[in-house]
Amino acid sequence: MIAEFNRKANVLKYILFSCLSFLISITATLSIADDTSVEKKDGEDFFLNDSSLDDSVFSDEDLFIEENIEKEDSWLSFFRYSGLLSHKTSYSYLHKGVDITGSKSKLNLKLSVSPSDSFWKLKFNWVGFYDSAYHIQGRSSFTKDTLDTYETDSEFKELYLDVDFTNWLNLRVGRQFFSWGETQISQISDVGNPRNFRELGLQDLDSIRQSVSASKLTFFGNNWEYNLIAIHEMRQHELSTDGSEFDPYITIRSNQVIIDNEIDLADSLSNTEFLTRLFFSGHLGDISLYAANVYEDLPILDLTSVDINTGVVHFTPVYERTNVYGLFGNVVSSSFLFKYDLARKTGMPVIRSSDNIFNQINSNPFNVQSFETKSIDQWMLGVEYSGINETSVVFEYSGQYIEDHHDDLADEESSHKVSLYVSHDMLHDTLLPTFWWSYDFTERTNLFKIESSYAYTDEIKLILGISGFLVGDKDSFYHPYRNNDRLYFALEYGF
Amino acid sequence: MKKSQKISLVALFKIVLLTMLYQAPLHAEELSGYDIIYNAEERYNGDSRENNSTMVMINARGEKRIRKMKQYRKDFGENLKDEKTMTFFTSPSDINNTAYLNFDWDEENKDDDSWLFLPALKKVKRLASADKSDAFLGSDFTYTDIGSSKRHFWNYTVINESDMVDGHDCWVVEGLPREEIKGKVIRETGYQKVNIWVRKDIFMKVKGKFWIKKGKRIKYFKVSEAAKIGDVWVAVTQQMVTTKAKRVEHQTVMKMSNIKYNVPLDDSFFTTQQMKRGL
Repeated sequence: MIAEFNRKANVLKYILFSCLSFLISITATLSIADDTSVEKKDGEDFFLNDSSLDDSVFSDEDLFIEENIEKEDSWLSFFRYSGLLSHKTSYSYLHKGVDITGSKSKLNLKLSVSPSDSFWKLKFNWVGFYDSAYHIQGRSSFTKDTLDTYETDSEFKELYLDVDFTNWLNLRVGRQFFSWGETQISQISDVGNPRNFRELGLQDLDSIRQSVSASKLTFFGNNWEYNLIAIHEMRQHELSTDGSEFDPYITIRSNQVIIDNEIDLADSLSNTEFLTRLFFSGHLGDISLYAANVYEDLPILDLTSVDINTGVVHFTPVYERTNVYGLFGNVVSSSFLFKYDLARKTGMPVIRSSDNIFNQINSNPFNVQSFETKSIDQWMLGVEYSGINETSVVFEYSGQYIEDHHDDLADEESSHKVSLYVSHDMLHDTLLPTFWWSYDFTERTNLFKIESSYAYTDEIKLILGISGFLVGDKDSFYHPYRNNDRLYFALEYGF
Repeated sequence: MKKSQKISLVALFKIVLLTMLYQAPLHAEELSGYDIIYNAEERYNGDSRENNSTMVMINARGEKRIRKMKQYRKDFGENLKDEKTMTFFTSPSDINNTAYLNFDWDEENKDDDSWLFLPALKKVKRLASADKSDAFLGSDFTYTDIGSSKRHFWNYTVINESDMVDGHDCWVVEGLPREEIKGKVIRETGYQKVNIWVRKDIFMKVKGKFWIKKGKRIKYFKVSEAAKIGDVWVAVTQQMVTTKAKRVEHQTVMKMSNIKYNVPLDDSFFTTQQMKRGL
């Protein structure tokens, strides 16, 4: 078994190395071809001294365009629709049991209705998927929760009505996104939209945010905006289920520790969450100041009962209401964009250490406090550089500090992580290799994703990628997930 | 003011204008390369504009890709020299609902302000002043080509006083990077040298040849259709062809339609809020 494991580890390393080599070689080949082939043949002077203009290079494409414009005008005035049909197959080289980890077919339909020059707009954005990997592997191998969550699902990502009362007042009612904050990695300022953590941060960025039903009133001028938001739908982070490979409680669950079903928050008036933001924009950059009274979207484990006879401990995931104040924005300087997210969160639940909880159980099992609330400061400082031809480089450093920290808490007083994202457009934007890497100093773990997408036509796109964890040691939170690597291939058809 | 007085004032204005126009060719003979480019770029183009654009990109194998967008432009600031532009991309589906907002300042060394709304991330993103030699949407037009030309980067010389293009008399103006900022100019624009054909009658750039440092390529530009809409001459169809060793590598045809000038566009239209709302 160990030999098999080592073999697979070597295969993964080989694949990873091959992908990197592939990307580097493409870039290098194109760069070398750019710089040498013609230089040897013609030389610089030939070009610079030749002022003639060769008309034969131009082709007549006018008729082709005319046909397209006619087609466009007949549809665009009232309804706009688009969609995406995709299939993604994922394979896990290091996985111990299941190799085909995903075979997901997904349909995304978007429709907007807006009569020209009207004061209102209706938008639908629906996504549904079916993952046949569970059927291929045998459905009996998986828990009901896992099948319910991962095998098939559908939802309205967006379903809202936009109303412009005047040219400075807008109301948006329905399921929507707010997408606050500058960071793409951590959830610091983006407290309105919960996250999808079903793959612990390895999922696509465009599917990580979750929408909520809310009413958003926006007052705005030429260079400012003020938002008042009431969230009516109590929706929290989507976590993996019991029995799935990304189950966040995988190390806690045992015969002695039971994680009960969480207590859902009702979509009631008293639970309504409130957010407000003031945004300014100027030549030097943008800035947003905000405040929110919301539920922390990550549940905290509340010890609900201890069976003295059997020693079985029951925890229930619960949600705590918090206050958040902060600012985020950016400063532009030439090809650099410096960005920041700063937040102070009060009433944040912090879990106590397992030693502390078991000491409490031993001394008085009927009065155990498994967590306490603290004020937490969070920040992100980042820089984006776009001065390299067709290339974007983004670096972020983020961290958090728990105030009034003491040794009985499970989390460390401060934690830090860094991330790097690089993308490079090639072949007239048809080939896009991207590289993302993040290192969590507290958990001593690397997360990575290397992906390359190729637009075969305007409608058809091919995607090849690899993602996973490189875990430092057994104490890391990510250690149980160290084999959940992914090698994936996707085919997308847009319409 | 009486109607007859109004008419006489209008008539007087027309006479003065006609006199100026008749004198223009005489002055034009004496125009420097810089003056010609200045006049071409600063000629009246309306205080606002609304149009659709279709961009066809064709690779060496003749395979086509099409981008469609709806664009809005409004002049603002003192003397209406600054420009705000909003572009909504409508096709293909993977860029549908993407919006690009740009403030182009007349001040020479002031970078543009730009924002991009990414529908996949549901987020308005502030953009740094990107590499101006980057391709616009993967086309053969760069941000330099579609944005402000930065005249102060170049030394312009008239290399041909008269060259006929599609039956129209043109100046041929050569642009070389100013020596003291040569490296910066080549780095930011990607061009080592430019030749521009400007029609004498309407001061429109109708042809161009661009020497690209990277890869030693040459790009050719041509206005294949020009039209007068109201008082404004506009390049309706433009082509840009990238060649290497005299072989066509890639080309782009950009055509505008439904062009309307001096349409009433509220300032609130050119905001990040409007980007999120979309068309």
